[in-house]
Amino acid sequence: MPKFRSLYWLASLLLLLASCTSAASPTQNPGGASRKGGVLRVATLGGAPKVLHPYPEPQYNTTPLADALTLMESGLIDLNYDTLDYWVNPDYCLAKDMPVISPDGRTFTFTLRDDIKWSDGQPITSADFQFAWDNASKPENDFVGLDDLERIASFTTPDPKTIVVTLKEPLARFLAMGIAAGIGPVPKHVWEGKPWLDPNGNPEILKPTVVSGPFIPKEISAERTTFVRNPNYWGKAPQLDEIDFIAASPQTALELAKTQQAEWVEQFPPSQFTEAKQISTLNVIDWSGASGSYRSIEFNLRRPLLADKRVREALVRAINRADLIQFEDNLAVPQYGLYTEGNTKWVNHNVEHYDYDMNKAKSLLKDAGYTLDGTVLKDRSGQPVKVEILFPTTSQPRQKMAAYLQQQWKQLGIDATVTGLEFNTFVDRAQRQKDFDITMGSWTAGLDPDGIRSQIKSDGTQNATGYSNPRVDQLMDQGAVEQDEGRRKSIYDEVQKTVMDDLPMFPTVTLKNFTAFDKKVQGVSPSKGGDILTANNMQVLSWSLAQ
Amino acid sequence: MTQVTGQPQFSRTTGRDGARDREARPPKDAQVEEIVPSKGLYRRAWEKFRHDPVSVAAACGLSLIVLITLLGPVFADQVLHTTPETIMRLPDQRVAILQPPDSRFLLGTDDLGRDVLTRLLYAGRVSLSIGFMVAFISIVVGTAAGLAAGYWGGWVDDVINAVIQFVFNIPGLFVLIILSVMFRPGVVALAIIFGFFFWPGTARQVRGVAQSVRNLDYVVAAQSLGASSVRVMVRHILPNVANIIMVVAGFDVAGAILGESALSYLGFGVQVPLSSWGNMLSGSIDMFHKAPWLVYPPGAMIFVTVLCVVLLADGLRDALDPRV
Amino acid sequence: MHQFLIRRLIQSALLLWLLMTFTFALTRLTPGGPEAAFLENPKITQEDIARMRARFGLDDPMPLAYAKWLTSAVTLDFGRSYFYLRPPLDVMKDRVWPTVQLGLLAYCFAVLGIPLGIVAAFHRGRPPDVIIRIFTVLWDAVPTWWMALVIIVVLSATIGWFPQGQGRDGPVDWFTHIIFPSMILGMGGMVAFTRYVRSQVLEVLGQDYVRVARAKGLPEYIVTGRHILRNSLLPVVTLLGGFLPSLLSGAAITEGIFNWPGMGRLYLEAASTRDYPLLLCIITVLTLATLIGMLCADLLYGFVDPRIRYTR
Repeated sequence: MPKFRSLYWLASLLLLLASCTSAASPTQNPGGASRKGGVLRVATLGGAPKVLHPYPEPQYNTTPLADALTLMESGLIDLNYDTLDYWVNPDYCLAKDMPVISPDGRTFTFTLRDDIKWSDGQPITSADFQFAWDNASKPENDFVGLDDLERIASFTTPDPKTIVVTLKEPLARFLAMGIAAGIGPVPKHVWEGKPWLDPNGNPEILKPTVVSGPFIPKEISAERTTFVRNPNYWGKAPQLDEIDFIAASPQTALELAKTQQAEWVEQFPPSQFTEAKQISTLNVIDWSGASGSYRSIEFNLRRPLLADKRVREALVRAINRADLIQFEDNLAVPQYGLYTEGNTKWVNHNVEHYDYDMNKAKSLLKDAGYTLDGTVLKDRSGQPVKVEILFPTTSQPRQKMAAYLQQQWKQLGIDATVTGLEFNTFVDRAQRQKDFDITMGSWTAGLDPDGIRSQIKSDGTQNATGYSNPRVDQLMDQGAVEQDEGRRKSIYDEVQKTVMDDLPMFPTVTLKNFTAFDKKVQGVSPSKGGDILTANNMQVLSWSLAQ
Repeated sequence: MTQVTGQPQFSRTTGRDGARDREARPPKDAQVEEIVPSKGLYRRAWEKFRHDPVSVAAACGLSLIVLITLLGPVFADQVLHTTPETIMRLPDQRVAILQPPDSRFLLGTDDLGRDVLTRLLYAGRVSLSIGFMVAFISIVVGTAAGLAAGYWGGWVDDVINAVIQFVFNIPGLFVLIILSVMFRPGVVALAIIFGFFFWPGTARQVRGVAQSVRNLDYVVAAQSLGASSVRVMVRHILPNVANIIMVVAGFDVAGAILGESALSYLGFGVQVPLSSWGNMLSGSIDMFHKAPWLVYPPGAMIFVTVLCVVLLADGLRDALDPRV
Repeated sequence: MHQFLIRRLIQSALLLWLLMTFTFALTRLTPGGPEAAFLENPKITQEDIARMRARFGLDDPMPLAYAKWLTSAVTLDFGRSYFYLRPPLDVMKDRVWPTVQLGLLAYCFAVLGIPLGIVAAFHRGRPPDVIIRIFTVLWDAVPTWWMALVIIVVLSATIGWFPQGQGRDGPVDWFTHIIFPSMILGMGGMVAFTRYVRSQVLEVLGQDYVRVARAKGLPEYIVTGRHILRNSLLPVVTLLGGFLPSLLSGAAITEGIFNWPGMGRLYLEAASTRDYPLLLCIITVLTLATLIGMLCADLLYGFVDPRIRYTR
């Protein structure tokens, strides 16, 4: 109709103009630099974090929570995943500089920056740190890192910009730094007077409204968890507008990226790795982190059969690491000792490898008094040798490894039964009741060598094997407090050598980290950290989406 | 509702037990009034069944599958010289992981280097036993309970109803998780558990039909003639219920086999290293694009088996229907 | 009738209590409580575990714990979920509406089985019957979770998209997101309805009264509606009894695959992580739903088939 035609043309012209302008100009931020914007959708297998408490109880300390806290929080200092040492990065660290350390190594004095503020505009002061410490250190608040906090003798804040942390005893520099800087601020003006752990009285626990980090949570549901950019962020403004974590199942995670419904597949089954590499729109990265998780076989040293080191060595000599790497779709590297190869600062390459040698295995068993009767290995009293291998059914790789062990040990004449248990039950039997012969372990070696104390020390809480070597206990205690780096290295070198000589457990392979990004996502590159979001020098601030 | 008592259709001797009734529909071209003995329900059912191509095909198919699963392991052992757990190696000593089907591995190998064909044959035993055992338990227990509840009514009905409701409401998944804690669910244990959860469904269906039949004239007549309750239930009510039981049986076998595969997907059910078609299927799903030969064989076996069972159940149901 | 109703209500209440107690006992008697997940974490010490157990009241003697829990249940409190930190009913609340949506739509699919079964029975042996039977049998033979994955792969490969989660941008989006999971869930029910109805209708078709009705000259739709349909509905009613709880419990697997925030997933999660308060609450609610469903089914029996009388 002629009457409306001009109107129609005007409207479409306006529309055209509007769409041009919005596409052409990137969104401006108050700082003046142009920001690219965009929504990063992440397919994750972890589900939603149920609780977003900065000081979670053990049951909430999950990967989704770690992701969330990385986006929502700021810390005093951070680990530099390239140098593997602590540093202060002005883009996102609250401290002005590295702390001043007292001569006895026990007292750390931090000075806060002047321009730091919460997302609601209030300044972040030392009172927020004091508030956090006062509550997190209470045993009844059940903070998962309480045992670290218990090494702190006093935590004081003499003025709004200063924090003084004194440890109970002088620890090794790296360890001490991590503990002293471990407290992050909690907005006192929001949390004060509210219960620390009860979300009914304190809805901040389920969904914080005031944060110190670059992103604020927007929606938390079973389907997805979304974070939007904090417009009042004091640090380097992130390029992205929003990050959405979408819950996916192992089969659909990669499909989400294929169908452009997600730009980043955080985790996906290793068996899909080669397929992922063939998808032209995806950039699939794999790398070996300094702290990685490795698979190991753990022996219950309390069992008479396994108390004999010759038997243990025979059993591990029947294992070919090359086979296991094949089972991990070649996404693994051999692991010989307690620390991953990527942890270049601490790894001792001079440990016993126990390479595959079936003949040696057989002769060791013979030496230990076991004889092969046909195809059945028998002990001195004529009883056939049996072992039970335990694994959690939730882990396909461990299941495969267990089946592999069964087959390999069959060649030695050992009747191995493979028992799969549901995860909680598995852990209960393996860790709590310690009722097992062999169990498939999966360990994450941290960056600091002291991290394995709970597995190695005689009284360690994760010591399922029953390993007890007083020399090792002594060395671990010494290493924890040794200030000199050189001496510390030789202490832990000896620990590694001794433990591998004793062979209470057998590390097999370390998994490589891998993930897949849509090629649209720019600025992504892994470092020596094990996680590209949480252990990557806050690289997420520089990530952007190409239009 | 139904008047099936095992008697031929136009017989006027309903209510009398015993199948030896001589009155029958005269053949079309009969000139003489010949008395032809009736064939009885089951005989005629067999005739009908025999002539229905679908049912026969299903029966043959199922028998074939059963035969294969019974003989398969023997075949694998004697002819192929393989076991379902042996990790196969290539000539260069590398593990034969995910080899596509070729002359050496007829159905390829899986992600642990094991021969798929061998595992498939052994798995058949597991899946089929679970399916049939579950159906058996469900039918036997369910029919007995349903008949008793529907026929006697009153407090018997109340008690059985209460038991049915109790079992229906037990949180199955949770119980399964717990049972994987107490004892590893082996084939028999799993079948018993499934059967335990399936029988109330059967019982309710049977009870429903039994209730509607118990007030029919011929049943009352039989009772007043002094027939014992059990006799009435078995000879008069049971045949009416037979149709429903056939349908239920079909569902039960299918449900058991498929349920086992669903459990495997969730991580419970038959545990590795024991293989069942269900856990072979669910374990291979992640590698669908990479290794389709892992997915199709167990999937096809489940599909064909369930198909045959269900068609067979349908065919039996139709055959036992005296009205056609 | 009143007597029957009262008796059944008392029975149901008793049963509910019995089941709640049974489940509670199960949670206490099994090893590996909620803390088991953290035993592998090197940062957790034995003291942490002990503290956690004490806070959850896991070390209380059984009678005390039971009494505590029962009182909380009666007051509809149910305690606090170990992992959600909120009252279980609160956690379930978020999932109820999506679950009901999915369930109702699935039910609509399932109900389509009734006319299909009738058609199949009427045309027994002829093409419509054969086609319907083939279709139901084929669907029956495939595991639902597999079907769900196949659908996703097919959609992804053909139209480059597949539904995950709920659709939030308007009715069309809502529909495209819910149609596939509900279809998959409903098909199982549809197949069941088809087969049962077909079986019953075949029974009924041969009855004298049907022949009489036709001989009387009644129009077919009255014969079908009043005589055939009503008498075929018995197994349908039985199935209905089980439908209410399945509506709520959802299908954990399908929900997981389509990222649908439903109750089934919550149940699976609560059972796997041993979130006892949440688990017990879900089971109580499910039990209630089942009991109500069965009661309705039994009442409907009387309506559908007048010969079934609830005497005494």
